[in-house]
Amino acid sequence: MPGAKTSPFIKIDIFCPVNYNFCMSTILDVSNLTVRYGKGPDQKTAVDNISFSLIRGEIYGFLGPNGAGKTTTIKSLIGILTPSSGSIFFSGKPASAISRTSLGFMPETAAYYWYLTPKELLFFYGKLCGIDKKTLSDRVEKLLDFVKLSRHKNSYLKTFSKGMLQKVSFAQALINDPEILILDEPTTGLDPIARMEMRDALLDFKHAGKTILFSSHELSEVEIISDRISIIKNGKILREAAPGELINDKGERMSLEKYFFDLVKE
Amino acid sequence: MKILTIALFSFKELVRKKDFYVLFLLLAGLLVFLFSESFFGVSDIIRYLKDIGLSAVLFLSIAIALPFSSRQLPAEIESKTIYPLLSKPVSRADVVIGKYAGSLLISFGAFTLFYAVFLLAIIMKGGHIGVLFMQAYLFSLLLLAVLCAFSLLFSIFLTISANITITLFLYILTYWFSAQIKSLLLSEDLNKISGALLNGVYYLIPHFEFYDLRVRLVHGWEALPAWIVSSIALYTVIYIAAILFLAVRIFKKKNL
Repeated sequence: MPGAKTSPFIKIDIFCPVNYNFCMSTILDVSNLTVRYGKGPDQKTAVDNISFSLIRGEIYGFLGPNGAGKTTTIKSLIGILTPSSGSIFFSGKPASAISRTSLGFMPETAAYYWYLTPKELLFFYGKLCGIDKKTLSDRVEKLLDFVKLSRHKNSYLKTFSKGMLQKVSFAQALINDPEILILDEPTTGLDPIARMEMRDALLDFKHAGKTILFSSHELSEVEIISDRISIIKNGKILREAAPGELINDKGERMSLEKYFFDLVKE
Repeated sequence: MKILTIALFSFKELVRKKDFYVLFLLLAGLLVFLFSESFFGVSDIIRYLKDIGLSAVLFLSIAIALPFSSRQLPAEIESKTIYPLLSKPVSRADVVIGKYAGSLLISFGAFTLFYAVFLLAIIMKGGHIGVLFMQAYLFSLLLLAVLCAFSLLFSIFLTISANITITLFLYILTYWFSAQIKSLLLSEDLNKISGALLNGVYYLIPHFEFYDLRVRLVHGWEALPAWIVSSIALYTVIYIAAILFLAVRIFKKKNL
């Protein structure tokens, strides 16, 4: 993915000395989000009154053990789950089908319609986003080139390896040229080279002025690319800071891995 | 536009699967066998062929429509393709209606193809194609539309096999018992409460018997008057709208 000749992203100029407030504007604002499953005595709180916001142009890492509430939070953000309480705002507007036009989502499992080719799949999602035919044709070609799947654009997805499907998944998340990209465990199951390529692609996206929120188990990865990290456990945010701040948090310099383990064990 | 996109891509699935082609060959084989010369030496065979042929065409169309429509939503949820789909500017109502439209495209497409083969066989056997054949075609499409709506609704909370079984049971039972309920309602033995209850049941259940024109076709009766055809079509549209409204309401509340 890195080193692609053409970037599929429409670059947003985030350097604007005239209006600094715009540059540092909040693109996503989550306030007192609570998600409960079940009813009565069996009710379980998956996400417990969390609040956070994303600043335009940053990479925000969501860290936490299994069952911490990362995926539930993400599902609420993309509108698959209706929160029990709290609010979600994209660019100052309440989350709805309309605000999802500027959002891209890459799920943890890259499962797509096996009877389609990657080109057809991207056209399908592009049409759902309301992109006109000419723009869509151009964007599909650029994205397939970007994820290095141009050669396989007319092969059926059923013949694809897990790594190739992950690339398709990344491409579909970018089809509407989103302002904010939400990725759930984007590097799960990828080999080290594909993982590095994914990392570079995310940085490329950030450099185009876009915003990224991603969840991961991979501490080193989160540390390398995130501008800010949020550590979540039992549905609550335990700590939110820049990686550099976290590793010096307790007065002595420690690895993010050690910091994370100490925090979630407490 | 979104609904049409979802429907057209669902249709693509059928085109790229082998099930449809197998059923089409099966029907073609069956019709060739039925319409072959001097079949069992029975005279006026065309009347029986109309009955058996139309039943076969309808049966095979249902064999395509039901598994397809009952699989649409569960397959999206099980394979988790529902997540990227709903992350686009698409509502759950768009998904339900789009999947229903896809099921209609498939069942209507399959039935039209099968029916064309059936008509061709009738013509080759010297039969006359009148208005009643067109009405039988329209009514079969309406029947498939109601069945698809039911199986899509049931697919939100039933497994695929349970869904197909229950939809088929609903079809067979209401087909046979509607007339019985009607005759019970007309009898004078019922008290007020049971009469009202039975009346409620009669108007609530789907009336699949409305769509069956085989007897008319076999005996060469006159075509139905336009007002009856329009009334049944209107009844179907209202009934389907009610089922889909319910399906959207339930699907909106479903945890994915």
